Amino acid sequence: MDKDSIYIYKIKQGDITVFSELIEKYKDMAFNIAFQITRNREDAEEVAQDSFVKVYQSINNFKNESKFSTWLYSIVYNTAISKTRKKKLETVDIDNQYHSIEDTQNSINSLKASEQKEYINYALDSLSPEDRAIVSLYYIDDKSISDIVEITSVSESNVKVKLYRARKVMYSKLESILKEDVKSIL
Amino acid sequence: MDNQFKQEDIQDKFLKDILSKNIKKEKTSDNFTKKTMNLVMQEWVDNPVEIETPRHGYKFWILTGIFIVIASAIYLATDTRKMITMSDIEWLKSFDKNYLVYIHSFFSTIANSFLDIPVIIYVVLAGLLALFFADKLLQKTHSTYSFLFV
Repeated sequence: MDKDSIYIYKIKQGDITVFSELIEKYKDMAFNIAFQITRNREDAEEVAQDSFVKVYQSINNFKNESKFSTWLYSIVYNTAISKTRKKKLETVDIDNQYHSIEDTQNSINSLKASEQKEYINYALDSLSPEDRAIVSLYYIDDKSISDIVEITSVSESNVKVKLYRARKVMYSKLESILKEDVKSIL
Repeated sequence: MDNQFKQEDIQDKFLKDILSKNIKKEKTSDNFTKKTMNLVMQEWVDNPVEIETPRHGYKFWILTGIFIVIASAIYLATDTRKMITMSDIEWLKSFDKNYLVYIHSFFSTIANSFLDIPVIIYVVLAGLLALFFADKLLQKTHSTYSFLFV
């Protein structure tokens, strides 16, 4: 029996204090995936908190058939996607109004920036939240395709297609920004 | 075609390398655990998790199953009534006379009434039971991720 199963068993038996051990262990992991989707620290923190509350609410549904971390990932993923969709609906007018200014600022920033990090974030931002999450899970968190299928409930072929498209988009963005830098790395 | 795969492979490795190097892992705020625990505690006060106490453990069900199988095997494979009436054991004979005869006749009546039911009824019942258990099985499989369907 691994540590997570022991924690979950104790929580199911009514020992709520053990839940803080789970939060402590997985808070950064949850926050990171939420941040990759929302691209905003406050939203990501809220998503991570909500996800832990949802974990508590449905702890009796967790039957140890999958890893706890995968289950938590799927909760964070779904909560973050819902949050971005809601936010998109709420801020659609404001976004349209300031779109050109933001675009210009982004272009200026990216043109002036010398660090690769900024270019990469720019390329990541060009993806949809769902694609960004899949890219992040695959390339940053080293999750396998089957893990991603379980977390996102997207079919295996769809995950592969999304990864392929995201790779193309990101690569062409990076290529256009970095130009000679990318070529020299390759 | 080979060239295309090579190109995709290069892009894949390039992105893997560049992302793992440049995307640093973000940290939550200092009081994240405390704030989250407060929310969880609030939820715990409002809706405490029901403590899981199985009515019977798996050992109980295994023993019950074994008992039913053995009892059915004895009943079906041997002529129990004949064995009891032919027995020399006094207490068994008196027990049979006072109780078992009535129980036997009661169960015989039920068994005979089942024989009168048309076969189609059994077929339909078997189908309904199969559907019921298939539904239970599917529900159990998806229960871990039930929050996705809310």
